[in-house]
Amino acid sequence: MHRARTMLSVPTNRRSILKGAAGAAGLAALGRRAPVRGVSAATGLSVLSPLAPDPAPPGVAEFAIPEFDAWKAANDVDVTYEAVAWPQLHDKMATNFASGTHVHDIMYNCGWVPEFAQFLTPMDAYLPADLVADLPPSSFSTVGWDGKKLGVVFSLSLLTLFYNTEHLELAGLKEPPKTWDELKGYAKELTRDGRSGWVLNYGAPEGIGGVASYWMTFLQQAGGTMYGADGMPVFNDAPGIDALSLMVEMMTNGSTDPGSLSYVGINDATNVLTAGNASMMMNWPFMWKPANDPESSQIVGKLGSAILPAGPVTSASIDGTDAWTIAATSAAPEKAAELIGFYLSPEVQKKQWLDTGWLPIRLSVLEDAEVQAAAPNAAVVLEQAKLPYDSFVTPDYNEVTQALGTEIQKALGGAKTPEEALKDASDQVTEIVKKRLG
Amino acid sequence: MNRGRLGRVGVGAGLAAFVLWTLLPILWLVISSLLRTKALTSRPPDLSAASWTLGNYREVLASGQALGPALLTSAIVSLGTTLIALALGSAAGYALARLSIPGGDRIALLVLATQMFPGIVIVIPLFIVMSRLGLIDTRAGLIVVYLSFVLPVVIWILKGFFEAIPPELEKAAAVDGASAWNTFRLVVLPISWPPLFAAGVFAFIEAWNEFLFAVVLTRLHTKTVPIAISEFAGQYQTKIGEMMAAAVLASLPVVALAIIFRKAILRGFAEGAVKG
Repeated sequence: MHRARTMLSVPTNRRSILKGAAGAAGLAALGRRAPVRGVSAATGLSVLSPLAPDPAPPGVAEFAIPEFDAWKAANDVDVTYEAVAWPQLHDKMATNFASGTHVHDIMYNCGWVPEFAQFLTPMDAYLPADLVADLPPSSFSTVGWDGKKLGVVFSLSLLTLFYNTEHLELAGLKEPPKTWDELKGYAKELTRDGRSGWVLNYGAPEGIGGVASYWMTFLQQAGGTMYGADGMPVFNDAPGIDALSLMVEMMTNGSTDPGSLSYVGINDATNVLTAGNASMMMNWPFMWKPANDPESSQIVGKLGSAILPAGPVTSASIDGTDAWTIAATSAAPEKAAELIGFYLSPEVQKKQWLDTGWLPIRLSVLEDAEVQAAAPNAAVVLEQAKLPYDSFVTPDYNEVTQALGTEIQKALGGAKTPEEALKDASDQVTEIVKKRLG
Repeated sequence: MNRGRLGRVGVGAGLAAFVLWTLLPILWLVISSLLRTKALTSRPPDLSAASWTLGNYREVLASGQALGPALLTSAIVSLGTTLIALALGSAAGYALARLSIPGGDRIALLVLATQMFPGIVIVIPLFIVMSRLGLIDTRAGLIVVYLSFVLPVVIWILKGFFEAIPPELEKAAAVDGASAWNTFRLVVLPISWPPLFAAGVFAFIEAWNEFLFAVVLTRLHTKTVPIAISEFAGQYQTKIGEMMAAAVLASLPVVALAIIFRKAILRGFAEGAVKG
């Protein structure tokens, strides 16, 4: 990982100089150099990013490094990365924005764009037409708010179905499930010899990748939606109850790994599948690489991928929304946009997949023969992308999914019926939305 | 077997069970750090010969998570916090225990009241203050913040000990013309090493393990050990073996400290228990 310097906005007046002097003396006594301070200037860009192996840019993840160095030299830009563990990203960003200090020029965002909309620069004017034309139009749905594009997705990350081909063969199942009925039947059939037919992480209620977001996937498959035209929740209806009933049925009939209720992160559930202890799950495209890595997986060469089974209406998914955004306070939004343009350039996008396992978002790169050959699941994700995949992100997304996910967990645990859980969730979400809409 | 011997065996077995119960998670931590990811995620874990590796340790020492700098930062911050907490805490504890300070009891309670606010409540205001002072991402900043929750406890630990010292000692010093400061420095402190050690170890461990404030107040240069360990857990993948290896390495300094100073620590707590 590249070492980088701190870039802080520090006012210079008598008081700050005195404080700085006192601080410097203290630091000298501690045997540590004083932090380098600077202002985000035209030649300096600070970037807040997740640490690899989560989706990260060149310089944090080990890919396209020569291209990155060449870009910095050609553009006379000094890029400073602050790379933190993914679970810390949201709170770090929220603290920076709330305090108005230490805000980066560019920051990774994941479903939080509406929440932080007031702190972000609209990117409509900065996105070249050829780039926009090469991105799935729907990729902007989760990075926009109030009609503005506030970010740009850099990885096509939709939930699709992953399954153990060997388990299906052993059970005499020729192809992956295509409907809910098949999904239920397969999951039951595949639950044998100490294995579970289905596994997922239902242990965390909130956020993209929390249990509420998984239910939203089933909700869309049943033809439902979260909000009506007036912005108020409408999910407490037949499709909503059907979606939750499916999850509950697969849990109570024993075909879902009982540990799913306690698995907090997708990696917990992934580990169960790659250990050969479960047969099916829905997961993000990144899974392809680790599941085929003999160092960490016992199902190398046995992983299959397909679009998610259709509910009563359609197959549908949700969007992981790995996106880049620019802070409204950035002193160099043009340069920041150029750097994002570099991250999204075809050559970097291609290496992003080949070297890190994160699918590109550019359609031309997704259709590249080398990418297709190295990523058999790319075609599946592209097919899934033609179907609905709304993540229903709003400024209060975390609050909404916390309330909704907690009720879903109660239904999965048998403490409430799906009807009771959804009614209570609807009441809570209504209050949250009313608060936002005033 | 007579009843006395039976009792001793029972107590011994109980203690052995307790020690085993306490050490099992640590033992599993060490075992996990030596297993390949594939072996760890197997059900049950695969403990066959082919599963063991030192690779997790090699990865940790070579990885971008930078455990080495984090260990150095944690050592400096924890030691700095400990020394300042002991210097200020012993003086404050002695003053509250022995000097006739108007409202001394209320001051002592007020000192303790600072412990009643959950960290999450004050973290953003604290971030703003530290930012204005230019103390974000500095070791000095962490020490200042850590002192805010370590110092009150140190004051109370030492106050209790000082109150238990026979007043005749100080009276004798006063008869010889010693000032309060000299009495504290030349008479009280030399007999206070055990409780100072005990309070110091408490302060060190508190500072070493702190996570919430370190997450918010550090950026690039001053990541502490708990932050470095947490960075092995991502959204999509967790490097379990490496995380365990990092945790083992991070525990070593504290374990070494406890082993080296175990006699002083035990004496400190024992004296505190008797005298307090």
